[in-house]
Amino acid sequence: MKTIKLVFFAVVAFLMLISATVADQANVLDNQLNALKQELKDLIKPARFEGSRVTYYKINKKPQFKNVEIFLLMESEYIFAFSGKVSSVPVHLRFYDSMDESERTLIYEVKNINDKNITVSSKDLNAAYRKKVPEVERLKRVFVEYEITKGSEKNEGVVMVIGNK
Amino acid sequence: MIKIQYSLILSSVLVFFSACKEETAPKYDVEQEQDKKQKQVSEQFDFVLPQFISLAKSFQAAGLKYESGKTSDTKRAANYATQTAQLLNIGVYSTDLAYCALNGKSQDARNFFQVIQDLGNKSGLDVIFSDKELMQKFDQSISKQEDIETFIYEIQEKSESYMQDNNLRHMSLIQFAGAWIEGMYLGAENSQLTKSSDIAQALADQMFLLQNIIKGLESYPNEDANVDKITSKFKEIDETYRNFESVKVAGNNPNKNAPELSSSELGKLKSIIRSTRNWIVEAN
Repeated sequence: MKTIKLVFFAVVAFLMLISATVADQANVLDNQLNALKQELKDLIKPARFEGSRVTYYKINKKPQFKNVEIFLLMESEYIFAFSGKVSSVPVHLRFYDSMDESERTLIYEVKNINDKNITVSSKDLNAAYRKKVPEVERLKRVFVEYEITKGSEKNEGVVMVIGNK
Repeated sequence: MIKIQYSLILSSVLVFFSACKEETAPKYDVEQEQDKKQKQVSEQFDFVLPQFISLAKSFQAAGLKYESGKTSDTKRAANYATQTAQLLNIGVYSTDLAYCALNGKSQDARNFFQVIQDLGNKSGLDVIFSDKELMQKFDQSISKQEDIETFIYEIQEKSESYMQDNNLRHMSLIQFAGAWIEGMYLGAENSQLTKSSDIAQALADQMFLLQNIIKGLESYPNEDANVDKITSKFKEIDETYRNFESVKVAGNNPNKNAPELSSSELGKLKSIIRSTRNWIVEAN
């Protein structure tokens, strides 16, 4: 009986310890991503902060895709800053004009944003888009796609901050 | 052996309480969001909505001129008793604030900021709005339009950070819903609106935000009859708009083809926007 109790409490203690560790890891990741968000906010200056999004993912054995839709209501220049500094696997970034895979046009692509911060301007996106679709005036809505390549299972994230000049 | 058992029991209890520490949050929705956060995986499709001042600026760029008597009455603020009504009307007043600030109506803008601050404190956003120096900062920026804009952007940034850090995105989406409908109302009710005007085009551009607002409202974590009601009203606007001939012809990519709404379509849009906006500001 004593042995059963002992085993029971040992299992409970172990499960609780795992739960606390997972929560701690999540907090560490959040702190890292928040620090990167601040770096990106500094990077977009003097543009005014328009919004941000952290995209969380769990690396697995297959590549995966995450999408973020962004609205460009104003004609003035938008600056998009991205950080893949906490990504341990290559993350590729693509801008599309539509969510519909059968109709969308790839506007711009940046390979391997892991380990670095990058910025992309809406001026460059508009110029690249007009080369492919000459009749368009400007982008009003873009879809950012992250391709997270395969690797060992791990929770990570990429950060995006948007500014408007 | 007994000592080992006691130390195991003690350590189990300690670990249990340390693990449960974060679960004592006051509201079910916060717990649910924290649980989601622990999973730390975003949806496959996500979106970033613009700042409310950007909604107003885009209408201004389209030629929207200030017209008095169109904004929501600040006296109504005392009637908003539920958190949903408070958040929706913070959004409404935020657009009114931006509309006034961008048109040099600094005293009106000040009044709107005052009610936003009051409603913010009531609706659980006191971390953002309880700072007594905020009004002082607003007053310091009031004489220069660019400074007011900077002030508004700073408040929005602070608000976004707080909501994201505390997994309260659902609250910011309700606010945005209020801001969006007020912007659409001010645009649709403007006397300069004609079918060929840039304002009509700005209305069509901002209609593309609606689907994400609906998506956001549908993901609201708690059961709330007011959120359900506003979601169904917004769906009604979306459905009406999607059934317009010009919208069907233009398709779903505003980068390539923007719909040119006919006078009759504009009239229908104006009417449904007005009724939804009035339902929100009249304390539903």
